[in-house]
Amino acid sequence: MAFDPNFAAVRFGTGRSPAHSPPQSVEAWLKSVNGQIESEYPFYTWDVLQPILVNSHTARKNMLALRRSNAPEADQKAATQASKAADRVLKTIDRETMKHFIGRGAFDTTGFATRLTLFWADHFSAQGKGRYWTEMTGDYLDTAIRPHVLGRFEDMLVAVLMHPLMLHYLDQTQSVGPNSTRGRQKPGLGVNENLAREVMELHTLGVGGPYTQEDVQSLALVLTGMTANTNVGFRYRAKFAEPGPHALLGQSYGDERPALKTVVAVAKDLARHPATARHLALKMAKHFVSDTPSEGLVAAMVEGFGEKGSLADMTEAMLRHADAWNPAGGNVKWSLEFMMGVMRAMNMPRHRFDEMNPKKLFQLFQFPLRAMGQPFFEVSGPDGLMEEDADLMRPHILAARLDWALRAPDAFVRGLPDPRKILPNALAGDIPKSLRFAVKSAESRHEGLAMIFVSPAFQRR
Amino acid sequence: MLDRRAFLNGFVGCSVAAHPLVTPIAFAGSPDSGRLGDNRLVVIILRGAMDGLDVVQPYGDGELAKVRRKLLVGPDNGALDLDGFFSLNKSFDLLHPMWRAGELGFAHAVSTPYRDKRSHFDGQDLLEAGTGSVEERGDDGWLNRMLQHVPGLTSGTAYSVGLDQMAVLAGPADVSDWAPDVGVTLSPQGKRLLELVMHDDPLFQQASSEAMEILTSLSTNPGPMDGGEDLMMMGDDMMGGDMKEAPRNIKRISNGTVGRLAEFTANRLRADARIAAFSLGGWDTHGGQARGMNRAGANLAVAIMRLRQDLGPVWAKTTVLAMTEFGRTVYENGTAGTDHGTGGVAVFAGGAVRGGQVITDWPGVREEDRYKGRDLMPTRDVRSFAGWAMRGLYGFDRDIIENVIFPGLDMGEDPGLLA
Repeated sequence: MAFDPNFAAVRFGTGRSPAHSPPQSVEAWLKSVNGQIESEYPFYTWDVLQPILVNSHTARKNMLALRRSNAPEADQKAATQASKAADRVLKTIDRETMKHFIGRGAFDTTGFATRLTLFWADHFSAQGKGRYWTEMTGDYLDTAIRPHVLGRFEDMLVAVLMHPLMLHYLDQTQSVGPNSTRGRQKPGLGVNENLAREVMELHTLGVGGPYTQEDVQSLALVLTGMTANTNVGFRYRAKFAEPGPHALLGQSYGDERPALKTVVAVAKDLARHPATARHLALKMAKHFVSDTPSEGLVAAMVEGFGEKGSLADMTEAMLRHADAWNPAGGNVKWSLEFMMGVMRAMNMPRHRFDEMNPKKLFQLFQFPLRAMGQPFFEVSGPDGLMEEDADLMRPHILAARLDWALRAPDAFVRGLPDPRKILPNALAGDIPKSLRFAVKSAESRHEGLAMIFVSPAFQRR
Repeated sequence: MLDRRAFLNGFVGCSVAAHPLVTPIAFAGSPDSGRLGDNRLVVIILRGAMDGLDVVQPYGDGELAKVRRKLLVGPDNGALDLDGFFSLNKSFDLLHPMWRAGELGFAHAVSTPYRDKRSHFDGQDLLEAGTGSVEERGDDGWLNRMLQHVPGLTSGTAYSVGLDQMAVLAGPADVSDWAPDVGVTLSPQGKRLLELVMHDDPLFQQASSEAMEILTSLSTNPGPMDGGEDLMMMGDDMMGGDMKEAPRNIKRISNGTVGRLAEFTANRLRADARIAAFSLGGWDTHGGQARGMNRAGANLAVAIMRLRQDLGPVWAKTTVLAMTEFGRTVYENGTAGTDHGTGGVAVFAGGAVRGGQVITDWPGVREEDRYKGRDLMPTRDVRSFAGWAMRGLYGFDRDIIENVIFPGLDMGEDPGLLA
């Protein structure tokens, strides 16, 4: 088995679309990540976001101050309205991030970049815990994750460790070295191990990897000084950082003058560690190919990752391996991917999507994603979304997808098409006889289309 | 034994962090019926930190009124007197008859072992993990750990209800989940075709047939009350026709998401399910607390009321436990609200509880009686109430409860919350 354009669209992209002729080779497929679509659906990046966050922050502080000082009612009212208006801007940003993420995946030639971004952003799951942080999701995706999906893993790791969203999510911002300048002045402050632990357990070596509790503690000390807030973004504060040298995984890092370069050196070694290669190759193969990937495929991907930690070579090794094209064992799609796949199969006109108002976006995407158990970039823990088919295909998730598949197509096109015309271009491989029969026998176009989209053949990649 | 002082300061549960998990059979105290018997347990997680001092108001402790000038307390200000010392926030109107009938009670000045950081996220994580500290938290919740010790547990015994992920039920034991906000309208022909489409994929076939079974049972077998009319009438009855302002609001809640959560939970518990959990939010009342409390309190009241009505005779065998991540400051802030605190209230209800009582070792609310000078001092671990409920309802060994389900918990004396 080898590269097949339709199969690639379903397994490695966001689904087949009559609007795009799929790339015909692995080389062309890899090149498809450099499409135009991302610039057409931009995210709020830090430079644009920062003044908005500061403005919102200031408006809220002003409102609270006036309330506390029992200022005249009219002033309080005006301040409250100003703060509410500023918060509405934040909501707009969140909604637009979701809209543009979906737009990228639904209208790209292949959706390969979106799939890689989704996978790696989930690997490095980070999210806002409250006001002013959630809005950084777009910046996180576009600066920490996306530039490196076919680059070097160490660059992605370092970018993630320096991103405010991750530092905030895993409680790094308050971590202070006990022997740092600040720690000695104020002994009550302490180290927080959360980020260090997840870096080793989830992001690099993997649970069961060759590290000890002492290594976690050492890494936590190395990471002190890494902080961020919503006003200035990322900062390295040497005064809060524990002086070295730090013993970590049998090596010594840094000296008595704490510096960001020590963090980078440790991150690079963790990123290139053989245990990391194995952990990442297995995880990627499980996501894209099967819950039980072949040892040959994983070994080839480990080799691709190599000593340099190349994600480009690891990804290419996967695409060039015969076992990656085995149609058996296709995983259940994640919900975002499932939705994008339906939009593509329906050949939804782009202007219909672009013109969707907030209410429609809520009804068609935001709420249904929650019902399908995968609210937009909200996860229950740093280990990200579930991957095993049995966890994804649960009764309530199936019901939510069925409910959506019965209603959403109406909003995607003007006048529902004959489901029999959609069927041939929706799936990767042969059309199961039972599905062909069901689509033909459905009593309405709604139900016929829903049969296609909830069928195992469509929901598996 | 746990030192009470140590609990007050939050230093508990460090020593038994990793109790070796032994197979269920090794525990002589596990229920051996293979099922959980007839008793039902519903856990409601109140997200956002409910202000226990405003829900169950210690108006008899004259100190509270001194630091709460806008958040008025006591029967003189419209609250419902409970026992001459405590009064119930008026947003819980609907439940006052249940208190009188001995089907509703409260535990006051309780908390999880969580201290000082007062973060919703960490606080809820700990409440649902049931461990002694955030650091000891594993991947499973305490209700799931209880289920792991039920031999022969079958699918459909426990339900996680609603769109919120219920960490309290997460873990290796088989838990069903359902969000009653999802309704599928599929023709009979569509249902048959769906079966056909799913037939050859066992995983999809299973998920699909379970989903269809639930949807069918919901549409053909509605609860004793379908909609809000009956509830309103019953409310009027129970209140002696004294519900002047509530009905519209109550009806809306009962027909909305909250009503559906309770309706579905009751639907499952009337059949094979024994355990269910869902969450209710809206308790983070930093400003304009009276308004926020009206909303959140009415939601909780309607949820409990609908459980009672939809469960019918099964209510007699039901225990509802509602718990929150932490309480709120004793004093009110500048915006007629309260900020994150420590000690608070847990609510228990059901035909199986001994209601009509506020169980508490009352610490007082003067500045020197408070935790860190600001919060209600917790005098008992809220986990012990869940522990005693499990013991009373299902006969779990104290050893399993204190070492496995709630690692490091000292259950203490039986607080007597069950009838």
